[in-house]
Amino acid sequence: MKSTRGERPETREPGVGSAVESPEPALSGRSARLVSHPVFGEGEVLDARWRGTELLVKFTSGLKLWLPTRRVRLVAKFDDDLLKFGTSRFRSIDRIQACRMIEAFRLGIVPHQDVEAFTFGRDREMGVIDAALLQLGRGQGEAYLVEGDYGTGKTHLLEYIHHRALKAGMVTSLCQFDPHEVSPHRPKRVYREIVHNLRYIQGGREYGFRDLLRQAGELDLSDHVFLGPVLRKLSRLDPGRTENEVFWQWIEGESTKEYATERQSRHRVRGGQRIPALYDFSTAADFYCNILSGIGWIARQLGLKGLVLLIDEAETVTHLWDVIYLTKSINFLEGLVRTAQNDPEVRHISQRMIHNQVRPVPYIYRDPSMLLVFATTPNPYDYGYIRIANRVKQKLELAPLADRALVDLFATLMMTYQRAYPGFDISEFEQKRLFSAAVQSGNEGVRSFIKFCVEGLDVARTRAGGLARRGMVDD
Amino acid sequence: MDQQLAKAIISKLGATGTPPEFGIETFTIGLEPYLAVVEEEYLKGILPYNLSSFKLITGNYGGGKTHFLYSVRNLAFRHNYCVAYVSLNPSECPFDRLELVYRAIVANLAAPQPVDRPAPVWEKGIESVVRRWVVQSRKAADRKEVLLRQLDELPVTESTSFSNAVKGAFSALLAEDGEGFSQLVQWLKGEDIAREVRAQYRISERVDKATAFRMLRSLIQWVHAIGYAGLVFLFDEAERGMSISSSRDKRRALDNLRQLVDECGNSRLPGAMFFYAIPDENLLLDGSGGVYEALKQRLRSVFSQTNPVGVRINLEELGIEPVEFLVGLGTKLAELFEAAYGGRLPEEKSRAISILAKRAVSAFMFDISYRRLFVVAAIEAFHRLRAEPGTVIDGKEADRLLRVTSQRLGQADREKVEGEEY
Repeated sequence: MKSTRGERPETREPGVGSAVESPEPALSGRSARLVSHPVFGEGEVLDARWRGTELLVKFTSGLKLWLPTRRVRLVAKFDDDLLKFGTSRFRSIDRIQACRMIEAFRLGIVPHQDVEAFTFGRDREMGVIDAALLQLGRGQGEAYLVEGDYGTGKTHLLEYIHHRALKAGMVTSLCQFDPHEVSPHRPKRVYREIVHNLRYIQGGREYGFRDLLRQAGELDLSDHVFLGPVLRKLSRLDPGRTENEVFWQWIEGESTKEYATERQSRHRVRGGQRIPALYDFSTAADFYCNILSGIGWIARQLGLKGLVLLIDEAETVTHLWDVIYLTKSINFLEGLVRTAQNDPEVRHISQRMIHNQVRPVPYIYRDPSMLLVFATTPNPYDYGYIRIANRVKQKLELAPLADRALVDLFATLMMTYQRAYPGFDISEFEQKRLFSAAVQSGNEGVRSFIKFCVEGLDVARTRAGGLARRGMVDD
Repeated sequence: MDQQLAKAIISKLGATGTPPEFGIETFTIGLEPYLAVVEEEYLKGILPYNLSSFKLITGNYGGGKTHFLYSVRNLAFRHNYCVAYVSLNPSECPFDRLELVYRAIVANLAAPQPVDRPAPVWEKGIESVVRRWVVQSRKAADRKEVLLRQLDELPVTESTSFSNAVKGAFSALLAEDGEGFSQLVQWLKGEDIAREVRAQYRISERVDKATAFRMLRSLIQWVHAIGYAGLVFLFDEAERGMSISSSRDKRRALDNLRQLVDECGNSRLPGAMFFYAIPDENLLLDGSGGVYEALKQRLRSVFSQTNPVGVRINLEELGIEPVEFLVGLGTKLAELFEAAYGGRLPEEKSRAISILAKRAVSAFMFDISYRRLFVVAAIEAFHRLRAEPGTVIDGKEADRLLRVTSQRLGQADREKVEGEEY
């Protein structure tokens, strides 16, 4: 089955930068369509189906089989000469910075402070993102869809946006949909996750949701159905009382309403009954969009530059098989998109959208100033995906990292490693061997590629330095 | 080694096979590469530069996790680090409730101590660290106004309340205000205190779910500020901390762990190093969903071979054959035994160690506690050899010793678990 969307291959590839049909011109010596199977040996990929989870492979023995993608390993052969052209960033870093970075890579993390510089092969996407952030800074929100197959670096791009947005003075939250815990058909759970991860920087210090609401005490939000009474209550809250924590948890979307408002509860928050409940209905999309746009408005009023919501694994919407859940999920996501787009139709109660049954509100509160970025694997045959993709006008399609970008990444990694451990040396031949092995083994994206390289260098170094016994590091 | 201390070690090992808190080096085998990396690359290497790190320790029950953690603790003490050894458990200290983890950390905080003898119980907890801080400051400058000026110049931690509390405790101790000191220590331990005391010392926060991370960071910053090289956290028996009922609690616990790893990766816990010991990484990482995937990506080793610098330290793979390991361990235990009881064991000891080691590995390798089993059985054999120097420990006798020991330890474990669960 061939993909019809923008000439992109449907195949979900098991290797970093290993697209079957890479948009980059083929490099000499590379045979990207070759795979290896533990039983049938090497073969050539002829086709893919089920979103790339199965591949049709013709083996050298002549056998032709459909196989689960995870059962085969991509055999990518890189041109040996390519490494010579690798350029290295971070030329000016000192040893401590290098150590910090290498230790983070061992933990599978690109440190926040380095995420911008440690982004490779994404110049075009970074340009688009920077323009979107600039627009938000001027008060104009938008919704973006970042699309790419597994391992193309969607999460890394979201982290990049997260970092840029925080640095630019925006209130930012990065969260991930999950079919069990943070499903889009349960807006309250999404709200809770957003609030939990909400961050902003002011005066060189990091703050969170509670700080934002405390700062908002001076603002007039009396016309906001939820935040109005919450802020009123906050202004009267006695900081010494133990029930405050219950109140905060309630406002943050934890299920503590019973404790917070039940008359018999010893944690009861006086006046809590006058605050509308954070509805747990799957129809409450309007309510939560309204609150989130309120938060965006607060951010602007406090001199921050708007609200950036980054949502990873948005394809979770396509995992909902119950048609009612699916409808409500799509409604919520559509609501978020239209809120970010400041769609005039949802500034009032729109009969075309689903609303909570208790206290319907417009999806948008005043001027929202919200940038929404979803990251998803493309799924052009899924109804949920099509609905959302059609609604979002701005798209960023991520191709697997081009070979040149991987080489740059590796060269930078090598330089960083050697800066961290000045006495350590590794031959060019060993570097090439490690690079090839990292490319071939990586099926979880750039993160695992980096981790593989660093661990490979660690093994080589500890063996050379006598820190590890022979038996510990031999292949 | 002092005879009484040697006796105490042998007594503890012979009873349960679990290591005592002191004298651990006298019977350490095979950990050198890991400990060398911890010492050279972390304690002397990157931590003094305000960086941080996280290591996942895996090893079966009785596979030496506690022993390893105590060894790290001793190294940390030698390099002027404070240490918090925390035994996690589902009721008092589950990882999904960071405020309780914080409480356990401050209750077990210890400033550097001699490692070759038992530490007095009062040398543990944030109170003892504050007291030591005051005593050492007084030694350096005994004039009150100088001390108070130094206190004023102390860097403020991320949580101003924390900073005010430790400074308040210092001043209260200087002023011999026992009541005030006690109240402030109570707050530092995560307990509630009277409102007026909070107002007096300008403490506006509580240690709760939302502030636990901030308090942890503040604790690390304060330890640095008062002159220690950093703070090493040793979380033991993490599987018990994870054995929590609901999937939501587990997710929260894993989320906290992920956040901890990320904070280390982002060097937001300067000078701190975390060791998190668990029998099997699958207990932690086997599951579906974002948080599991995120942790897997962070904590799984890429290579199957052991990498002493890697994020995961696997104590089952020390690079020594199991029999060789046990023989080495048995030989060290025999020396310790001889120091404990004076005189030398008969030559039969070497054969006994060798036979016990081979039998433990061949017959009990799949018993997850075969190392612990060997330790207890070997000490039992030494006692016999000492009492009756003509005793012969042959294969049959070795099997019997191991079997009886296995039953005894199994029974003790069951009683312990049942006693805790109900």
